[in-house]
Amino acid sequence: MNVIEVANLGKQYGKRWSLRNASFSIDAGRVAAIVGPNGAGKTTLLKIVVGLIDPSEGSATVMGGIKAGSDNALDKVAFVAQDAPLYRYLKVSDTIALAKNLNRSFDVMVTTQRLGKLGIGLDHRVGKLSGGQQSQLALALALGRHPSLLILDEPLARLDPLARREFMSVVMAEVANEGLSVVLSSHVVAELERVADYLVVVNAGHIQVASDIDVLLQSHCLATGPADEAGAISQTFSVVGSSITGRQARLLVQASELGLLGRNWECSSVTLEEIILAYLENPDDEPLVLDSLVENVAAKVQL
Amino acid sequence: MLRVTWIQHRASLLIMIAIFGLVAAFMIATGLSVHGEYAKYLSNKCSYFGTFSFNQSECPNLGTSLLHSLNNLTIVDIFMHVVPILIAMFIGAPLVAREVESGTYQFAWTQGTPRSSWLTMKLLFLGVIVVVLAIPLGLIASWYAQPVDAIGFASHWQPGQFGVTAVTLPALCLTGLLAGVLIGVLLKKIVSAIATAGLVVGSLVVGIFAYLDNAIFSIHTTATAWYPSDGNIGVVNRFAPVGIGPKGSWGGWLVNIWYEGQNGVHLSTAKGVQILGRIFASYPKTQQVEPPQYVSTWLANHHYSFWISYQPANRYWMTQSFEAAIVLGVGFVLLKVTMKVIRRFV
Repeated sequence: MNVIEVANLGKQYGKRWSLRNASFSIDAGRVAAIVGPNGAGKTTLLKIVVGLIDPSEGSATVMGGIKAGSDNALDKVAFVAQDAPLYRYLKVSDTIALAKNLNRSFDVMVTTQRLGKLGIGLDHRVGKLSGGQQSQLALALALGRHPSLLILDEPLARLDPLARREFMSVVMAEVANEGLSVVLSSHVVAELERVADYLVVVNAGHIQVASDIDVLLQSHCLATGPADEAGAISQTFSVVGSSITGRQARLLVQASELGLLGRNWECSSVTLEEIILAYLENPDDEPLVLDSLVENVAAKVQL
Repeated sequence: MLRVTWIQHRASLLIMIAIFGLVAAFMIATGLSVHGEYAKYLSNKCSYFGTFSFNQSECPNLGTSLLHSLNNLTIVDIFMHVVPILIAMFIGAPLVAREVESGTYQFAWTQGTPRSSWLTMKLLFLGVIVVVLAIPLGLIASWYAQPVDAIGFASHWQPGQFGVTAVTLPALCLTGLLAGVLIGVLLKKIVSAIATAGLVVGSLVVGIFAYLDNAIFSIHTTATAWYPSDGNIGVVNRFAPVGIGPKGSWGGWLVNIWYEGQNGVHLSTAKGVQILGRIFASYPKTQQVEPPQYVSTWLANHHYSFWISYQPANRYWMTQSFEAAIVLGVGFVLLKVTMKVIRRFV
């Protein structure tokens, strides 16, 4: 089952397209990371998926075909927005009561226990909590709903490294124990590599990459070889990034059979961050969707 | 949920309750004085018009005292008409605009409850409070003005009073609330929404005051032949409660006057003025003839008739309900538009 499926999705504000021709799907049980620079369209994409905004074109469904934002979808999808906006003047206990009233089922006990472990008192006003505690509260409220899909928009942005680790450990425990599917957007690529198994790169309003992270890592390498053969390589393989120093060329290559590069070329592994940065530097590249190594034979799928 | 909704809106609700309380306290304090003067007026069997004698020795003084005690009626009317505007500004406009400005809509509208239900719950809670506050305020306003209506200085039909009863005021307040919410939804900014809500609901109140009341009073009037006095409908209306005008119009509201020629032809206003001038010019200065008799005879002799149309007194509450229904209908339309906009929001 696809927890998210978008097809030709677009959102226009005035004459400007914030997102266009977005098509991809994410399987259940995944922890999917959505990355991209500021203004790339990540938040627009997530807001469409949670039903906060309507798309200008295309369609978005969640949990196996339920229209995004519909009453059914709201029951199954929890969302923690950027900066975790909560009612600052409410006490934590009142915020929990509000969440209980706004949901058909809400686990007050689990939420309270989770907050207790984090040292967040129920009598505290939300506005008096630190940024990290507010994020933890927003996460606890989302998890208290026992959603099937948890969507987090830049959840790590205002957390210090320790708080990031704590935050993500709570999320990953829920993934392990409850089979929760998670989609999170973030700038912190290093953190994502540790937790995510699926990657969506959004750049300039377009989906540039949508792939299983393992597949992505295995299908890319940093090829080093003679500069005069670089042209031939780029005609045969998809070169995501390149740099030429004297007689040596370094190409970030995406290919189904990296062994076919040739004897003069040496292929070394690359990090996820290097791949992401290479794609982000080339926003005009065709979209890349790699769903498995088997499908990788086809390599590129026109969206 | 009630507790949380109360906490969320208590600041604006407390401001409203304080304003309502002040207005009510002012009306009760000054109204007690009005009713005290009125009691003395009645105990001396005074009346400017009607069946009681005007010549009781104490009556002129008592009448003057009563009139003085009514000086605050205009202030009360203004206060009361401002109440729906304040509700729109303080409760309605920020309801959604604040959520958008603070970003909390992203929390509220992604819970299991659809946003239309979320808004309905809030409006139900706030609407009930607004109505519960407005009803006693309308009752106090009617009680305050009762002596002035009873002695014929004013009428509870006149626009200043008609819109602030226990029937029409809650309807206006509720519609003010709904108008404020829609403006907040459209503008998404608290300050501009509050300012715009004040202007829009203010215009709505003035529109009701200036046009709707008279438009409603003009529906299904009762017409009867009468004789012209000074031709001023407002003056005739003031006297209606104490028996000036045809018997059926007492306590009612005179809406229109006109002359008819032969075969019931409706004459123009200019022609009517001309006829009145001819009547006065022909009035015998030496002969002791009662003006009504003379005027009636003159009209009959010249094949003219004078007509008035009015809303009878027994239609007052029906007319009140009708106006309240129209105002609530506007509120319902505003609510439907709000629900439609909010579904496709941000």
